[in-house]
Amino acid sequence: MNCEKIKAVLMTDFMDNECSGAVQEEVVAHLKACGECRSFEQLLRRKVWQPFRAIKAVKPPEEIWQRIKDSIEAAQAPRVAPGWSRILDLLRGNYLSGWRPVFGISTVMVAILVTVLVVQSPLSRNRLVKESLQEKSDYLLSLHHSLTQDMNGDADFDTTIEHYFF
Amino acid sequence: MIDIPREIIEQASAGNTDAFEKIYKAASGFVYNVALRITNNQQEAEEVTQDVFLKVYHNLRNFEFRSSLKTWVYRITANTALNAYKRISRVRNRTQDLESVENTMVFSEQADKDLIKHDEQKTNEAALALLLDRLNTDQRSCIVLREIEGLSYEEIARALKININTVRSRLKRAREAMAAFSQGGIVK
Repeated sequence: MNCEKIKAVLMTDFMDNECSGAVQEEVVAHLKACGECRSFEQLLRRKVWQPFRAIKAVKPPEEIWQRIKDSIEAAQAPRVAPGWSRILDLLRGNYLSGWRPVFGISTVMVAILVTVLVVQSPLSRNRLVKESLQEKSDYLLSLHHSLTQDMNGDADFDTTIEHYFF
Repeated sequence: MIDIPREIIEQASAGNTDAFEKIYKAASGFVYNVALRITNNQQEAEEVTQDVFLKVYHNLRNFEFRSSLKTWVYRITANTALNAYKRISRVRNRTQDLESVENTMVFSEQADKDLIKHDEQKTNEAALALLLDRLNTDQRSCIVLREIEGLSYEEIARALKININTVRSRLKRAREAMAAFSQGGIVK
């Protein structure tokens, strides 16, 4: 191996004890003979390897576990009272999930039937028409009455200006 | 991180909080330290740790024992911490808020002069944070898993779902960048 390859091995497998026995021996032999690679190896140990050895492992703060535990317990706690949850399940269809299409179709059919019955009823239709016609004719008659009063001069609004002039 | 017996995992997946606490005690040191070194922020590291264990708890019933729980936790930790780091970096780049930079243990070159005011541990941590800050997210996750928790190349490859040679090249580039930065005379 030339110096370039030796330096690559120094920065990886040699430093991390991942070298095979033969490679290890070759690197050690090269370092004995090559001053430049030996200096490079010392630089790596001092500036790259040593800073990691100079620090201590930090113990995680105690309160982290308490926060995790609280979060787990909050997730496990039931969100609604058992009685309500059964009703909610029923509304959601959890108990009747197999019957859901049947319920859906029958609801639509009942709605159509009721609509048809209401629309087709002759009694309700006649009564509504009669009432509507009566209201309209009453309104027209009242208009006619007020207009004839105005034309005959019988209209009297009982205002101050009327008393002054008339 | 120590191995966790299968029966403990099964009890925890059935909702046993005491069993889950055993998993937490076995893995929390690893999760917290990796999160701390990747994010360089104590508050974010706490958030990441909490997120990781809640993810583990809620997905434990789907765990099929095809890989070890350890590898699974490594993967969740690396992903969650990297996402947190990317989020912090985006905010930091947008705001350039000097106060937040000071609060996060990420030190700029100018702040390096102030390091002598800290005690030895703080100084070492700050020097390491300064070095790690030179790396991109891929290099950072590899070097932290290797140097902080001593994962083998194979374990890193499984945790990050990458090829073992990719692990090797990322570590090489990370160390090159760290050595180049150190030779600049900023870290003495």
